[in-house]
Amino acid sequence: MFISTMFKAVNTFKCRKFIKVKFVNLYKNACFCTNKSEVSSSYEPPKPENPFKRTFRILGNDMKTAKNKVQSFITKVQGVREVTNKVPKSPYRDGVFPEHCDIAIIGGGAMGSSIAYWLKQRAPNAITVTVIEKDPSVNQNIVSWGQYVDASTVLSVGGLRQQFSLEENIRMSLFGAEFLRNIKQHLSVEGHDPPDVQFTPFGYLCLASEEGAQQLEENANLQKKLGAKNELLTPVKLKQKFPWINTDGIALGCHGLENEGWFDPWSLLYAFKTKALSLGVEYVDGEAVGFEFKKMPDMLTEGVEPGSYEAVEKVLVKTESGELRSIKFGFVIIAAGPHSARVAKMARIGTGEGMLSIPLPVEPRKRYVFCINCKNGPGLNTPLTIDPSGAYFRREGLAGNYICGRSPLPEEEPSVDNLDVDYDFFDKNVWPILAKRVPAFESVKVKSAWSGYYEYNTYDENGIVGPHPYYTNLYIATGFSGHVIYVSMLQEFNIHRLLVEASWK
Amino acid sequence: MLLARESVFRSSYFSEFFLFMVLFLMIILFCSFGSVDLFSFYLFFEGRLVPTLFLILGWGYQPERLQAGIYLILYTLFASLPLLVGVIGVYNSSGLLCFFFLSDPCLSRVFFYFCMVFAFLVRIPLFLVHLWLPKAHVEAPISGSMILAGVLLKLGGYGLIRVMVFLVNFSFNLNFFWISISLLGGFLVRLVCLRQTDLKSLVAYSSVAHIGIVVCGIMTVNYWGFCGSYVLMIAHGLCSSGLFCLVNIVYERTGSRSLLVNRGLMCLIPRMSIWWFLLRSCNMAAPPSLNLLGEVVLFRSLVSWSWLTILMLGGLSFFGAAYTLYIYSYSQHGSFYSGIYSCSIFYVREFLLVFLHWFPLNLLILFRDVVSFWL
Repeated sequence: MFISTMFKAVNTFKCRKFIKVKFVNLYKNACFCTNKSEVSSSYEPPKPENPFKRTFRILGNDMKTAKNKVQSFITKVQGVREVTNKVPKSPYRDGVFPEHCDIAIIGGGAMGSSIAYWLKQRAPNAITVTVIEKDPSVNQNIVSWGQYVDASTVLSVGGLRQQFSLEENIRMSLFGAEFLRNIKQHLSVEGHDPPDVQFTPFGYLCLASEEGAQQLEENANLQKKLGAKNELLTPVKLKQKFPWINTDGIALGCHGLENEGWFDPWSLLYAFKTKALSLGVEYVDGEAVGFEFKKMPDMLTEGVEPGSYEAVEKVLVKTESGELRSIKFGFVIIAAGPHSARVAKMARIGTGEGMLSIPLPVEPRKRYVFCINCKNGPGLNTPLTIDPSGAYFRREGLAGNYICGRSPLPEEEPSVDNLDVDYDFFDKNVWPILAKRVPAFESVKVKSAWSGYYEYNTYDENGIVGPHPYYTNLYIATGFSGHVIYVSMLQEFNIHRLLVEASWK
Repeated sequence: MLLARESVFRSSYFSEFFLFMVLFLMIILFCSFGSVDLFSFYLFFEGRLVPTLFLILGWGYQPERLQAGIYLILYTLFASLPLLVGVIGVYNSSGLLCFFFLSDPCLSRVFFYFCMVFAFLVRIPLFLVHLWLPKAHVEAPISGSMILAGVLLKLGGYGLIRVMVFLVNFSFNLNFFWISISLLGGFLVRLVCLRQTDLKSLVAYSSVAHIGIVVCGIMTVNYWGFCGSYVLMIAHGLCSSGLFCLVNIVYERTGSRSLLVNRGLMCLIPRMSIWWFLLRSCNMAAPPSLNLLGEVVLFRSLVSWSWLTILMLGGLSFFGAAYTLYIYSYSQHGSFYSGIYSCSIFYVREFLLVFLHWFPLNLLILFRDVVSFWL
């Protein structure tokens, strides 16, 4: 059988077609890819290259790089000063699209970049990490405004607080605060300025009405037990401390004294990204459009019929230029923020059977943020104040600007098709409450506004971190809604501990 | 010498071409080992480069990353060109090229000695010229790696043995050079092994480490040395190739070659850990493996050559065992990352593959006289 095949291959060229036909069937049986759910066309995996052509291509490339090296050495030796850019710089490390990596991270926002950073920081040379981000920075060295337009990270308000009711959240934010304070040590890169996230530690002020006072007190005690520093204030004390406040309807307030405040999320993301890049993480500008699966009938998994297991093997990425490439990975981490559910669906989470029939309960919710200007507003000492109704505001800069917003009630949820701002929302829902709470806000001017997506976890509004029960190599790190900024600093730590030490805090 | 190696044919793309390439390579190798004539040996020695290149670059993982192709070509091709010069020199001085009649020393210049020896030393990688090996191995597909480790390296050793017979004049004076490089190099490479994080490159470096002793044995030009290196070459071929096979089995399950990721494999593929253990113990020459026989014989021949080698050999053995045990325990023991719900029972094909690798290793030592004194 072998010899006959060999003869066929050697003697006739017609058999190439025959072989191609055979190969296509063979390949198709071995794996298939999923459909992209929004667009009804299905994505075929990119056809692998003919090995002979590949050999010659690689040899040619190697010769070219060798020639370039020799040439640049010669010009250096000769002292030639002019800079010739004959070879266009490829956007990828090593000049090649990364087709294999150990860990692929889908989503390059704060979550994804910090996961990449923590993973690489643990073992810089041991694993290859690739981050797939669809909203890229074109040139990593230039800081410009047009980048990361849609990413929720940079559109967030950037707050850090410990005032949660869940113990894990409190611990995570304590760690986050400590990380932010020492960010220069953690995230500096040689040759660049040390990162500066402008952490302004003025704390959070959570106000509660009669109904919520009991809960607030319990929360405050829990936080104090875990090490957060906060202070419960009665209305009288509130008025003393913050003269601009109107304490009608307020029964209790809790002011975080240390480790709380706000910062610039863009600089944090940028710091994570540059550090990750310097450690060797590869960023791919493209959108994940599907997964390729591999049948592994030898895997026995609890809850799955033996012989029917299929693992995710490759992710299909549509690059900026429109071409479809695939990246083979050992693990994939879905950290795509509000779009995580869509990515998870590509991996059949939600459309399969058994363990795969439960979709990822994360959906995007639009939130507005308004920037207002008030001449006589609260002064320098203003924490980020949260009204019992959910409206919040904080000081921005030193020119009397404030950032404010409010979570809409469930029936008022705006549609998530676009990021347009609804200024009526401010007039109807935000301003009256703020004006009532802070009399100085009676006369404000809206300077600008923007909107961003929350990754809202419809199950319990907390984050989802960890491996998926069906897939051994798929992890999920998403669903943190407004808390993604500092949570990102910790939970990827957990992820890499999962990978490395298999211990879950 | 060419024991049956089960090459693994995955359902990879272009499987027919792959098959053809492997067969072609096999035929060439067979011819090279079976050739009686120095020139035909040279021909096949060079000829095996072409299918190897195609195998590695055409089906490899991502050869662009490490420039495996360039290294392979530059190193082996340019090192073996002088071999042609040497072959012609032999023909000139003795009038014939057949191995059987070339037993008397017939070359009159040191230059020819270096020409002939250097090609083989690059091929059976001597420490300083071993750089091509990890690169080629890491990027090669599994059967490419197995054939590379199992057989191609032995070509170098085989060539050395053949050639050393009539280079005895110079060897007595100059071989100490190669022996000391090998010994020191073996020691250093074992230390490097302890630092590796990629499973495949680790096995590649351990290949270099083992072959270091083999080269020493051949270079001592005594009968025990030749026998020992012969045995160790066979054993190493089986062992390394088996290890590559194991690494590939793991790679197929977890998709990653990094040591950091492949941990707690005893939980993932319990049936495979017995093979890991057996092959690893053979790697560090634990009894009753063929490696042990080879190493004992080689140690004896080296120590009889000069007692100073004891120092290096001691360090060599110790660190060899050190990295072997380190890799075994790091990859097998410990807790597994997330697949707490799943484990794998692997295929019969893989079982057979690894079994066939192990079987001669631990059982041929019972037929010691047949194996080692065939020369």
